[in-house]
Amino acid sequence: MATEGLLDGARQLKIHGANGKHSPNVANGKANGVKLVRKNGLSPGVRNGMATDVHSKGKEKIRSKESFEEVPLYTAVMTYMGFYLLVVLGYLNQFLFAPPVAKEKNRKGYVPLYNRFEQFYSRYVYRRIRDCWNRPICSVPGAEVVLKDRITNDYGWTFEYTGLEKKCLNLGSYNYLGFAEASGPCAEESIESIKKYACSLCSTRHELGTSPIHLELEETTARFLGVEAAITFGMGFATNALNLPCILSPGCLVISDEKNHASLILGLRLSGATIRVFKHNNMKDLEKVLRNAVVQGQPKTHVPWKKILIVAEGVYSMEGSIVHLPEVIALKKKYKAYLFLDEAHSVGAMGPRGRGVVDYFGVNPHDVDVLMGTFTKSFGSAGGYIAGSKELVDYFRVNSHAACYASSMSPPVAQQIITSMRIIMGEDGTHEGQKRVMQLARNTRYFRRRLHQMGVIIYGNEDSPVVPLLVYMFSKIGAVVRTLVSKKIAAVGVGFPATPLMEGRIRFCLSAAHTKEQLDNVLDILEDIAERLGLKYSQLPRYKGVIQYEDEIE
Amino acid sequence: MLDFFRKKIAWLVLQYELITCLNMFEPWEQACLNATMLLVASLVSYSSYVYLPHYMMSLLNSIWSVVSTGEERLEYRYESG
Ligand SMILES: Cc1ncc(COP(=O)(O)O)c(C=O)c1O
Repeated sequence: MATEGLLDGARQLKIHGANGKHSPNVANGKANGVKLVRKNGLSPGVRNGMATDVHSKGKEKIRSKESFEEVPLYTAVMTYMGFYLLVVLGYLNQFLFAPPVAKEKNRKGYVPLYNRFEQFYSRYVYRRIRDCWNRPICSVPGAEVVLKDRITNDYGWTFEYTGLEKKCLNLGSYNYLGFAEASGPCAEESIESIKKYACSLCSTRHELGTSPIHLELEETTARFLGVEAAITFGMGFATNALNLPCILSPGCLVISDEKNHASLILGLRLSGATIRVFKHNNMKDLEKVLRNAVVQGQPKTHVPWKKILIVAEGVYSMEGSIVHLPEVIALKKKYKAYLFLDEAHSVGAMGPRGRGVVDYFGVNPHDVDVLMGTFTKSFGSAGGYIAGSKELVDYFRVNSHAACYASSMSPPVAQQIITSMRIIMGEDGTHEGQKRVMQLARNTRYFRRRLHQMGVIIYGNEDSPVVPLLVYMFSKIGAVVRTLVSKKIAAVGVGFPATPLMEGRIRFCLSAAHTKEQLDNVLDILEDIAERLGLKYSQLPRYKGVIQYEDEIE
Repeated sequence: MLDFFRKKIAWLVLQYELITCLNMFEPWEQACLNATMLLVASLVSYSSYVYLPHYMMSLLNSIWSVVSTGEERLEYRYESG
């Protein structure tokens, strides 16, 4: 069992406290009394993974088109210049006028509690286009969303509501399968579940917080993913941040993709494991890092790593790219490392049956040691899960801080997930779920191809429903978002701390709830904006013909 | 025709505003920035009008002397060095 060693290592750490003390020629599994043939890390006698052949590497490789076009030099220079201007004038402004914010008194001699530059950045760069973010909404964020209008009279320091509302097409929510609905089976059953189980259990899973609905949810999730068992938590971020430290400890090595989500990074840092980063989705780099890790062992002592864990995401939410899962699995098998896959954005949204990237690539879910995901996106709910072998899940159940301290999931939230999952699996007796999965795939390909034809730079895989449109400059993020809102389209701009300084972007999240007409409308408006604001950076050849919206396949 | 130029100029102004982030600034900052830009532009054009012809001439002269009479230059260096 692949996960055995993963757990044993951690358990052993709990008991003995110091796994690293063992002599270098005793590898992870053996020290524990369990005779494991596969070892993790280097032992002087046997080179790991050398003897075993690599499966699935030569097999049919599904790799759809993925692009990360380089930024044109001229744009790069201009973007930096704009940023310097913002900083210089920002400091001048701060120097001349005291910022209209509350100031602490009696703090003479104290060092500042908050990061100076961050404060400056949010006050004098971010504030200027703050109206593009954190917009209050007053409807369910389905295919359309109602935004509350607000104005600012002091350049973004404060906002006032005008009392007006604006109905916009929603391209900003992670509502991939369109399950965020105020009516329909999901909503009805969620309401029913409140009557049955109340709104909250006000207790943790270990104490009074487990009810039949939670067990049902976990059973359904495991069935949905095609694995033995699953455990669920009330918050996706905490699922990563609190569970990664359970399986990692100092002396373990984590090989993490550079674009991993903040929750993963936080979890890895909390665990105290050594973190090495590989270039985004670059399998050559991953192999290099892995090989070095296995050959060199820990720095200075050259003791083999207790275990090696590869951490990757299914669909990257800022890049719109898809992990090359078959290659990662081949590498993981070759070097006997474990794989933690965060399917936050892919579960439900990817694959012919909507079961995530595992389904998309048609690999065996048992090849991924830890499957993690959230219910916040495709299922229109909240929370996260960890799935895998029964042993792994039981281990998390006992050891996870999220299971023993956090309040358990609210029943209506759980019911929403159960119902939407059943619909996707077709257990409700209709083809509704399958239709939604297909509609999303068609929308995605159509939207991406049309944008490509337009000559704007978009990142990522052509099958990924997250579409980042690169605008590079700061001022353009604001200008595009504002123009889009004025044309009744809600999309999200992403800027510096979340992306590299130079790569400001607008992120469109497609949904199965969008129709072709709605997408056409957006694309026409985008074409106009791209022309006017100069977003057509792409230097790649464009497809000249007419792009067809794929027909519905029955 | 006039309309075309007006559109073109409006577009150029917009590009200038976007590149300098002018649309993000408060009015006094915009004035500052525009004044600086104007100052730089005027200094550059003034200096290129006043000094550039002279520089270009001397540059051309020196290049010409190198190309045409390399020996002379050698001698000159020999003497001065
Ligand atoms: C990759 C990834 N992991 C975890 C999370 C956290 O999930 P949640 O929003 O449910 O807390 C997100 C959310 O944005 C994510 O993108």
